[in-house]
Amino acid sequence: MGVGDEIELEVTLRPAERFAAVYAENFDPLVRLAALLLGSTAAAEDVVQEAFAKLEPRLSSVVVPPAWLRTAVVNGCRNERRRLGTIRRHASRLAIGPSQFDEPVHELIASVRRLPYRQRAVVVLRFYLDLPEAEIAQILGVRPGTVKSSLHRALARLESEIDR
Amino acid sequence: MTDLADILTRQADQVLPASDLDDVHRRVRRRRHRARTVQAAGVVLALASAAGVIQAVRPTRQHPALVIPPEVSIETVGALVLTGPGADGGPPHGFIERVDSSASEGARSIVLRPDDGRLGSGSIVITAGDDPIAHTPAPSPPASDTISTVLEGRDGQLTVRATGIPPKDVADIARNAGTVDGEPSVRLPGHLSTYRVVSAATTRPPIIREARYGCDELGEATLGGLCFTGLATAAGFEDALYAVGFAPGPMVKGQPTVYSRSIIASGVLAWEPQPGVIAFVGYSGAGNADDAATALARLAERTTIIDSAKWRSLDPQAGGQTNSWR
Repeated sequence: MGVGDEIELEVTLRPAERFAAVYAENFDPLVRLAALLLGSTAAAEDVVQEAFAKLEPRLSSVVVPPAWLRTAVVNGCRNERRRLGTIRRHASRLAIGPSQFDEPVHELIASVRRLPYRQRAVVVLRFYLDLPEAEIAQILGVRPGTVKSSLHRALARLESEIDR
Repeated sequence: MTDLADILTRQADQVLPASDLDDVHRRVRRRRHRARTVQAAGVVLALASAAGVIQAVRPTRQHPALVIPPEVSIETVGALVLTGPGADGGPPHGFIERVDSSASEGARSIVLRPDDGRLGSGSIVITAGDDPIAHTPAPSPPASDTISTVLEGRDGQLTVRATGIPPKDVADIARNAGTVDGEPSVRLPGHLSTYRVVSAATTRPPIIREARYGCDELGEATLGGLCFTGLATAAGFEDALYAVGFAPGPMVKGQPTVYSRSIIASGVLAWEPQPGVIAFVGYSGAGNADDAATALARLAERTTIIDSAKWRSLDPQAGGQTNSWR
């Protein structure tokens, strides 16, 4: 072995340690992703915790935990979005203030939040995570063509809102 | 759109997550507890069922989610024009591209059919979103085997219209229909597994390509006035057709057609060159309505589809409008 050769170390972690490592590495990025999809950090944390709770018993059989978690979070956000929609509609009656939702840093964020969920997810996965269309299609369980058309529709809608 | 990536990153950077691994472990324990409870309840129910204490309740077997075909773009299809006497020199009234730039923001429809279904016979269309047709009195009575129902769901309005479909199937499909992200969606019970989604698209066509001719010049003076051909991609044509009424038309180029006096102009004969694409020949004049379908069928036999490059070379006049089918 010469100088500068990389040494591959195979580290075997116990399941609990491996899970803790996966959690430490992925929690923050996943919450940020979910917060972009939901507009609420509190709701995002809840969705991500649930995703980890689902992962824990099956960790040994999941080949790429970050990819599995990403899909679980995007799907979890879709379900959570419905619940948040109800909260928004009844916010005044339930005495829930706008503080439940993160302050948008730019008016474009408000426009992204108004997109239908699939379009919003495609925009966030494409522009925030920089994922290729094929991978987005896999996460959302749709065809690549659907990703393309959703992205096209989403960008057209965002552009029209900016122009207004 | 680099700006969009920057803005999304800035928004994400505002998020300060608070991790709590113990909370995950608590959730795991709760999930395991729930799973054990459900399992135990299942055992009790199975035992009670076997003992005849209760009648076993089987869940309806769900067909896997339907395969949604990709939306057809008119760019890949082209346009419909007439050939022969009175048409070969180009239509005196010109070529028109009717562009509806907001069609993609409007309602969306899916069309389902059993294996032997086709346009106007054995077809069901589900539309999510506002349904202007429902609020417009139908000028002619719909076909006797046409069923229309408007459902107010949690996610908005859902309109189901069908023709030549058994009422029980329509009811079962309507019961299992909903919307997902503004798109109509349905999960079919197992006994309806012969149904397929043949088209899923905007209800209003984003583009209608139309060619306009003088009926006299075409040799169809009985129609009077203006004759036209059109081609569009949209799933909403059937929604409008079944709402306003139609009759089966003569066969054209070996394909079945539908004829309606209420959907476009004075009368229109339409067929489906491929699922998701509507071709039509119509007229706007004071012609004899009884013979109109036959005259339009003669014109339809003279139509040909040209590709988009050829269409553009004809220098069509583009116009913005709302492409509602009525």
